[in-house]
Amino acid sequence: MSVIYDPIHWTAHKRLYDWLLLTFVVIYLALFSGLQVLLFPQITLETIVIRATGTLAFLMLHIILCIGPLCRLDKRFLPMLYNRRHFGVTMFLIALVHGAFSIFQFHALSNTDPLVSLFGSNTHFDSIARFPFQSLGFFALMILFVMAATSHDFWLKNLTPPVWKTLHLGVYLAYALLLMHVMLGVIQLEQSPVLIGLIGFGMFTVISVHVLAASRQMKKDRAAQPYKNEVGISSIQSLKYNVPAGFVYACEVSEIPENRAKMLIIQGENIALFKYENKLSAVHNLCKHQNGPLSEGKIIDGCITCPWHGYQYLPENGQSPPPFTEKVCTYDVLVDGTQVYLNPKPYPEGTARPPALIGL
Amino acid sequence: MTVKHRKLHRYIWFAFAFLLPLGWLAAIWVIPETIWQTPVHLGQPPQLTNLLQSKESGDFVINLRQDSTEQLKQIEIFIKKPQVNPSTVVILETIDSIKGNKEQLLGMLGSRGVWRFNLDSLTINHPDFKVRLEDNIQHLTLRSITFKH
Repeated sequence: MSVIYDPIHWTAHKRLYDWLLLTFVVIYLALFSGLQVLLFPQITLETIVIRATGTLAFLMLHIILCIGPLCRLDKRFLPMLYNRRHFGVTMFLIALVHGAFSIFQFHALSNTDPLVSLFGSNTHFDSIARFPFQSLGFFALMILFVMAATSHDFWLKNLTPPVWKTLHLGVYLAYALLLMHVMLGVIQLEQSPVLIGLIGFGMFTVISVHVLAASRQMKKDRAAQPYKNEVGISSIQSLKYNVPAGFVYACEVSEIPENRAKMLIIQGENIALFKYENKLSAVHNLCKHQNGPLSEGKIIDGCITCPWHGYQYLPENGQSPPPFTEKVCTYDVLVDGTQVYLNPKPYPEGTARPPALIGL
Repeated sequence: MTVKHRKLHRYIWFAFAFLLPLGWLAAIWVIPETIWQTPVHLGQPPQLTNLLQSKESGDFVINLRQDSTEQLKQIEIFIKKPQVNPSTVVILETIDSIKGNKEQLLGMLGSRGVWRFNLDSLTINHPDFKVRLEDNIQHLTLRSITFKH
């Protein structure tokens, strides 16, 4: 969290992560280049750079794409999510070197404009085998550029999280373009079964973790709607004469672990219901930073802590502790014996609501 | 993520789970049996019997040859060491101080090997000419060798 726009808000964790990232990049480039020189003694420096950076950027993109769903499947991957943007920008820079060297090597040594040459030298758009794969790589690089350029929190804040998130869905299109860039490019020329197998393995891994995480999330979303498919909300209310109007049954107290939350979707409201210090408080489930799921976070130092980037909110009023200014909506909660009831009508962001006390 | 975004993600990846493997398989399916890059060498004319002149310049040996009937002439180029230039163009320039020099494109050299170019009748009867080797991508004259009668 930051109250000002730092170019990079350095922390010890971030520094360590970046050092590890840089070390990985350097070791990969050194090993790959060394192997190329050993295996292909007549190889030129330009070709080594093109191959090393191309393979590294593609590998990094696979890792980046897996981080999100892996975090949803297993919280131990969350530290990678905190710093995914550095990973992404590094990947873009490496891909840029690949693109620049490729354009120089294949298109910049004549009197034709390199971009004209890039799009004009191969116009077999009607053939899969001879499709102009370089243009696919170019468009993917442009998408990655837009994403890297808007990766800073400045853009997140000004574009608003929903717009920013939608914009950054472009990485999926970039991945599809790059997959075909590789399959219609180097694979058609090299015809290596090992390369085909590696790319297939990468693709199936990325698809599998995404589909698995999406399926699990779908189940969670269904479970978050307590009586959607059983009986109408009004009939639930009528069962309990002592529950005030507007309140609906949410769950049993025992369903919520201590210092954790249960996600609920009631009448379209996405709510995180937290249990802490024998109390219950409900806030809107979406973090103000990147719309991260607050219900998957926990209470740390008395604050709800977003699992994605550590943004914090006080459970009683949905406000970030001073000097931070982020706020989320709050809701009224009621405990009747072992049952928890919730009014899904949101209070304005940052409105203090008394927590419901358990066992009274 | 909002519920709407989660749904969007889900739709994208359910679609990708079908489309990406399809693209991957299609690309494997169309892998050509022969590699597109394989250079196609046109059949070269046979070497003419008589060597008239031989000149050496850098990595190139350039011979002027003639057949036994003295009707045909030929330029023969040996590349002694593989060249880094991807395409070298061979240009023959006849030297004529009265009518002016005339250029004729003979063909292209690969990066290695022996290359032969038969000369047309006009060139055959011309006493003096130059053979120029040019990298037409980088606009460089690599060699220029003069043959005099």
